[in-house]
Amino acid sequence: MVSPNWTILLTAAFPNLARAGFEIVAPPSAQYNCIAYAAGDASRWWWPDGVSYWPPWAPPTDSIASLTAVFSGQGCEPCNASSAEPGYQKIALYESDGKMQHAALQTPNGRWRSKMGQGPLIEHHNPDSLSGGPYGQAAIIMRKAIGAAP
Amino acid sequence: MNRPQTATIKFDAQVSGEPRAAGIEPSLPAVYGAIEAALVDPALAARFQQLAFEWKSATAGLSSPRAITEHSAYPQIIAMGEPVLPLIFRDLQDNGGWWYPALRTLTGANPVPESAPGQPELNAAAWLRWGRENGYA
Repeated sequence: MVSPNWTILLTAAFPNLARAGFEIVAPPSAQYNCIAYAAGDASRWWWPDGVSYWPPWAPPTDSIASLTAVFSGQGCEPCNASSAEPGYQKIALYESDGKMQHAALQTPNGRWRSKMGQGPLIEHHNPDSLSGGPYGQAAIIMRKAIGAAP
Repeated sequence: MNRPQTATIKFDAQVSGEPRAAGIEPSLPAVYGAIEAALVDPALAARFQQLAFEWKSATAGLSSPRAITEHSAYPQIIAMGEPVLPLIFRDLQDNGGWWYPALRTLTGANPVPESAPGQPELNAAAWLRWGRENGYA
């Protein structure tokens, strides 16, 4: 099968990405997804579907509340701004119609990284770069003190 | 499809184009699989490639396995039936992807160990092993 052109696919699906630009920083993989990556686990697919991994401390539903519980259980707390804050790493949680869709992780340089489903890991400007597409909106921003235990 | 599961034969040619260590005797299912993969109807293969590309492109960024497999191309691939299995196994081996529900539906089997939640690599390995043992991969 001809492999998808990820740059074309992603800019078509996420209009803000096309405007703000992005960079592919790791190749496509069906081994891990966005939530796993944001949680620091690049070895598993995290989703509450009864087949994938889902942490025992979070309710096994696909609500945004359940996704929030995943990261609360990792020591994250809600915060207001997605801008870089010394001493903290931030996570953006996306929802559409109350259902969780995606998680993105802030890097030390203030940019954001997202594992795109079965696709590549990308680096983008801010959480809004992925809003307005299949992920809905970046509805919740959480932060975690750098160096805190997972 | 009933196939011999345990018999082996002498087989001196390469199977699946891969060099074979001297003295190794591939099982009959493996030989059938190599032959079957070579004999897939070109029209079926072209249709599969079109649907698989459409499916992967449309669901590329999604994380929900349910959303990934609810795309309209996915049941169309399943509807192609047992003849499409060698193509699915080949794509799983070459590109990965969320083929597991289709494989479960088409084969009635589930070789994935329950101790491997959320580990697609182990899922793929288990399915590819099953595919080889049953002559599809």
